[in-house]
Amino acid sequence: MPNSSFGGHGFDWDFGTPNRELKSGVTILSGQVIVHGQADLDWFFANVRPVNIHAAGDPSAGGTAWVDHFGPDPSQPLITRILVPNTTFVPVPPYPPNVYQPMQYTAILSDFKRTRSLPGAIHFCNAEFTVLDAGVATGPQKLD
Amino acid sequence: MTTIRRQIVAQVRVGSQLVTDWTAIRCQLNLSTMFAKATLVCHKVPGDYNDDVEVLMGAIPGNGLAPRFRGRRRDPSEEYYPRGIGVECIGRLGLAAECFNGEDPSNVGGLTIWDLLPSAPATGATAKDIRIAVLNRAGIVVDPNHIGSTGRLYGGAWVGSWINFVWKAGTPTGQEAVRSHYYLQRAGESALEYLHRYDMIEAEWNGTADIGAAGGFYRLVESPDGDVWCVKVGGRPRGDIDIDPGSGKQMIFIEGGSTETGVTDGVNIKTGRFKRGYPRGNRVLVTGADTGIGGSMFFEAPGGNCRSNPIVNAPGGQNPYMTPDQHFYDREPPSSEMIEWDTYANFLAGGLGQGMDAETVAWARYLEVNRIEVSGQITTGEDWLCAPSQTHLVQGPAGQPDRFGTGEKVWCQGADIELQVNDAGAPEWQITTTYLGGGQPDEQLGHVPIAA
Repeated sequence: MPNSSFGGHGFDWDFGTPNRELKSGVTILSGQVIVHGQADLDWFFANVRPVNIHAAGDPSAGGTAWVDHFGPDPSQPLITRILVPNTTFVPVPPYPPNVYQPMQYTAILSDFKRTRSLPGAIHFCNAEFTVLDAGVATGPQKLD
Repeated sequence: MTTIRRQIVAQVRVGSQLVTDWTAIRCQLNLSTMFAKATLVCHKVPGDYNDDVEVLMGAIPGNGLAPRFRGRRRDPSEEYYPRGIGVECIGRLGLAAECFNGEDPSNVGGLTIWDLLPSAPATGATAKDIRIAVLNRAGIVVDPNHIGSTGRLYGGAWVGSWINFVWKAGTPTGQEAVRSHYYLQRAGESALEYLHRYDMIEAEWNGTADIGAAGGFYRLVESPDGDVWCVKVGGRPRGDIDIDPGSGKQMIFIEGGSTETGVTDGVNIKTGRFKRGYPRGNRVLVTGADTGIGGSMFFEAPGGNCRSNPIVNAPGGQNPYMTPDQHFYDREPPSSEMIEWDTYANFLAGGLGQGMDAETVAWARYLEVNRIEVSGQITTGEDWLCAPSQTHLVQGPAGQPDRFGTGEKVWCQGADIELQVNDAGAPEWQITTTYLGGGQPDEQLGHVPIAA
């Protein structure tokens, strides 16, 4: 069962991902993902939409960021898990200081490339999601 | 950080052809460039010379496919090779710049007011009627309701000054005919050059140079949808901030704000620069040609030994940089042979509403030069229908001046709208607006209303 999905199409983040960065104040989640079927792979390629992020003001102190794209609204629900500080479990050994939080965002798949494939239609890809909102927690924090 | 997702849309049509291979579009509407211009960068040259060009573009949510430029196709350019071919386009007023008069049916040096307006009375015609007639000759059809004027009559046969209102054909005028070295044939005057002669003199002034001062010059302006307007502009803002039809918001631009201000809501200026300058002068001397007295005349504002030294919006209403006994004259006064009276009182004494007076022109100009001039430009990511003649508010967070040093209404002199496709295939959208301000907002100035 994939641990993440975008637009209802499942995928797994590879170990150590997603990478998280702020680009002009907008959160970008990126890294290697594993797609478990040809149909899903085709769907991801059909739903890539490059975006241009440009900002006014100081991103660290507010301001406005525009995420511009061509074509109809490409944003979809992105259900994923991100690394957060451990607030659910008592942070004493052996529990780690960080846990994974299942989250749902609204995001755009702004870049997608297949890097290699394995027998059984398992595809390793580099994906980049441009996150448009702060997201909501969809479940309790989990130990990994 | 507020994140706004937008769909950028654009539709370019050249002739009957929908252009789909463009990679960059730039539309420039600026009063300083006389007429609107557009540049399309495409993979191959669309349409043909003089084809109609229409550019609709914007963002959703926002103004969507809103008109940004209408005009005609001109030359292709290799400037963007090998990425694409640039295609230069001119706005509709550009047709007036290309239309040169070569007609001189009465052998007076060109077309008289009666040649342009055969039904005009002997008292002359208003600048409105003259503008419409000249624009029509250049192939530009305008809505008469969009063309404003002072209502004064020009070019009447009442004095010999009608010769100064001739649209020159390059042939000798009556005055030049006696000077043999001027007999050489020259190119005629373009329709736009001829109409700009009226731009220089079509002035209004409300009689005060201090608090409550109002006045300006009627100038031709091209709107984003390609209409030609003539509105009174004074290089100063109006009282009301223009409203963007797509968002319904007042056009208020807010800079990023230094950390001291703390407030950053609504920041929408990406880059910019502003300058607060010194007054250009405290005297304006305008000359004209009074054929009734057989020579030139002038009016100086403020006149002679006047001790008043008003300056718009300065503390105490006085020019702190130029004392009354220091005469700093405006170096570009709108002097013209088409100004027929020295004072407004003499114009009124004429009783027929004929001709412009140097006093009105000098004082209208005075409001532009004797002030703390605020000039600058900003670049924004907003999809607002910015256009020349609008009034915008440029300020720091919370309405206070910040790093730009401006927290006031400014008059939009030009808007440069750019859309290009970047290497990743995403749209890069930005609008750069150029401003002039300083002085009190003038409620009587005009603007081009922009409808959604």
